[in-house]
Amino acid sequence: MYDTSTNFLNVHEWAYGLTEIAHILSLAVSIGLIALVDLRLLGVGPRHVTPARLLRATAIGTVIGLVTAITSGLLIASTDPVRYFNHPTMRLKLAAVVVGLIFNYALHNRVARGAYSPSAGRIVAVLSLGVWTTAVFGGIFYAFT
Amino acid sequence: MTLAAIGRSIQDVGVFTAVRESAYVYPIVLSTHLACIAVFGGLILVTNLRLLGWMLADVPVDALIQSLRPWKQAGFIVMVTCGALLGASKAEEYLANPFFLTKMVLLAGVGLHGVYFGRKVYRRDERLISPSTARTAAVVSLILWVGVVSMGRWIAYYDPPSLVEQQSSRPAP
Repeated sequence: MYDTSTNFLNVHEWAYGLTEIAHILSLAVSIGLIALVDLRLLGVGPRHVTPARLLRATAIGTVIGLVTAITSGLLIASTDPVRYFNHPTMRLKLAAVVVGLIFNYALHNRVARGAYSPSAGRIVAVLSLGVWTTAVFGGIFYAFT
Repeated sequence: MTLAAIGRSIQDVGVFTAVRESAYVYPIVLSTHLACIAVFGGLILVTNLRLLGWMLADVPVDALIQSLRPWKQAGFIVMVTCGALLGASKAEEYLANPFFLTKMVLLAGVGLHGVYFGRKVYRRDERLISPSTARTAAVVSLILWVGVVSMGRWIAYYDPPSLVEQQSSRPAP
C-alpha cells in the first residue's frame, strides 16, 4: 500500500516548495508561449512574423515547459493522490489539461502553420486561450474549494 | 507606528477586507494574477531570448519588442493590480513575511532594470544596441523575474514565529 507520509515532498517542505515553483515557472513558459501564438492568430502581437514562424520559434520552449509542468504537477499530486484525483475542481483542471494538449497538437498548431483560413485561426486562438485559462483557474480553485 | 499597525490599517480598508473574506473573489483574483504571470512570462521570455539571439534571430529586435510592448504593459497592469489587491488584503501578515519583502525588493530591481536598460536596449534603434549590453539586460531580467515568481510562491511557506515563542524569547521585565 502506498503511504503518502513517506513521499519525499511530504517529508521535505523545501522540496515541495521548489516543485511548486518549477510548476508555476514552467506553466508560465508553456502557456505564455502558446498565448503568444494565439495573440498572433488573433491578428495582434508581432505582425511582421507569421504565426507559422512564431510557432516554429516557440515550439521547443513550449514542449520543455509542458513536460516540466506535467512532471512537477504529477509530483505534487503524488503527495496526496486520492484527494487530488477525487476532487471535482482538480478533475476539471485535469480535463482542461488533457483537452488542451490534444487540441494544441492536433488542431491549434496545424492551424498556426497556415493550413486553414485566418478566421479559423481566430477561433482556434480563442479556444486555446480559454482552455489554458481554465487549467490555471482550476489549479488555484482546487486549493479553495 | 509599527509596520504591523500600518499593515493592519491597510487591510482594514473595506475593499481589502472584502477580498480577504470572500470565498470566491480571493481565488478569482489569485487565478487572474497567475494567468497574467503565464501570458506576461511568455512575452518576457521571448523578448529576452531574442536579445540573447536564441530565438527569431532574423527578426529585428526593435520591431519585435515594440510589437510586444502593449501586451506586456496590459498584462503587467492587470497582474500588479491583482497582486496589490492580494497583498493589501493580508498586509499585516505580508509586511512581516521575509519572502514577500524579498519579492518587493526584486520588483524594485525590475523597475531599476527598466530605467537603466530602457534607453540602452529596449527602446533603442536596433543598429545602436550593443549586443553585450543586450545580453546583460536579458540575463538580469530573466533572473529578476524567476526570483519574483519564486518568492511569490514561497510567501505561503513562511511560518511566523508564534505568539508563545515571541513572549518566551522576550527578556523578563
